[in-house]
Amino acid sequence: MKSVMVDWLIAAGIKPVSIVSYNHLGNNDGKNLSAPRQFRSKEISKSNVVDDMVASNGVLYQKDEHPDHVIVIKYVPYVGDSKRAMDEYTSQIFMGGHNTVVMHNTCEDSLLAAPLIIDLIVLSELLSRITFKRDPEAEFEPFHPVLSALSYLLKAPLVPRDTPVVNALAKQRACIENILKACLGLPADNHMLLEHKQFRPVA
Amino acid sequence: MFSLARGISWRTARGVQTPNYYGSLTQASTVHVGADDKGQDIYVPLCKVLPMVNPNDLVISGWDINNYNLADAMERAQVLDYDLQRQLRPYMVDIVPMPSIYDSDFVAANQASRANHIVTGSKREQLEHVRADIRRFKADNNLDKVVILWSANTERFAEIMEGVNDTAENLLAAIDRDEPEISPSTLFAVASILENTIYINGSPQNTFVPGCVELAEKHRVFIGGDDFKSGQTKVHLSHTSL
Repeated sequence: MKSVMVDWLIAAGIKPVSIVSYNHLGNNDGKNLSAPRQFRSKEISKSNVVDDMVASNGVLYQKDEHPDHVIVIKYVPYVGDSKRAMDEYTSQIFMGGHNTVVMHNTCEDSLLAAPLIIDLIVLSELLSRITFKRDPEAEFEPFHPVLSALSYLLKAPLVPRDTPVVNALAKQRACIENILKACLGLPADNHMLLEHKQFRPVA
Repeated sequence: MFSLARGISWRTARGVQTPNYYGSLTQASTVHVGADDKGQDIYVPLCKVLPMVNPNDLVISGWDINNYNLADAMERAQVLDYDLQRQLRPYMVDIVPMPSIYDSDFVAANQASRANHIVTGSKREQLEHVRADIRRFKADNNLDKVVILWSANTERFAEIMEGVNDTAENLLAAIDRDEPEISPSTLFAVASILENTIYINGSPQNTFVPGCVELAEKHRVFIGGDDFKSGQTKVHLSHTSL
């Protein structure tokens, strides 16, 4: 959700300055995360998800300037697998004004995760069969062993050393879509639709 | 997946429910491929753009530090509707995950009560045990490709230490001398890489320490991560028949 909300706000020229996320859940994941060292792993993974979007807009953010970003996760056995997330985004808008969006999300944790597991299996297997080359003279090669094309399905995408991490969800999805289309020889969508924008005088 | 593969439907207060793959990018979303001669957009299911595995054809196995069979684990999870659980039970009751690697230093102390199904021995012995599991699963089911996914407990971060997990060579040597800073998830990843098997980390911890990434690069085995949203105490082992 963060990778959509923050991407959208920053791309709209609005400056998120505080992102606070309260979560509680009662499954075994929540139980394990109630211990500080395991929670720390989760916190690190969640904390970097807006970095590339913040860095993309030098008009809104100075170098090394980041929104405040706080994450709380609590274990509440009764709610079981039904995970609750309350996220608050506060942004600076025009002329010193502020906008605050609050979201409340309730969902079965496992029913969110299971389709992702299927996708990771199906897509990683597919990617393992694709070879490509950028230089016409070169040999066809498989992808780098670190499959960064799976970023859409992962919160803290692992990428090959010295390559950029992409967190913005729309870009991550376009990456998968365009790789599939390239295998068919189809161009990536540019959404210009110039054919629908030409003036055609009435006959 | 049992219900999809077997066409099981179930009743709830809202009437008859049928299984679906909602929430899956590959199974339930579409891709814009172009427009017809009237300028109308054409969308194709993502899984039909290129030949991909049908999830209904996967053979699934896994490891768990708890000895519950899948039917009892389903009941304990309290997620699926009762009428669906009732029909799935016979297909799941005889499936018990393989014993897994448990290290109380890496997961929360409160997981100790679940840890009753464990691979013991040194880290090298544990590694070889998991490698043998992968080979046996592949052979028993006559599979040509296996994908392994960590959807088990979140571990604490492993410390990156010179001479321990900084290079592939040091990591393998550290396993041989039973170095405590090597996590169970890294052992699974190393086993997977050495068995030429794709490995995905669905939890947030740094399974892929520098030595582990280097090992994957050296063997040109695909890895992916980190962290999807999952609360299941299982490592899924899965296969595709092509």
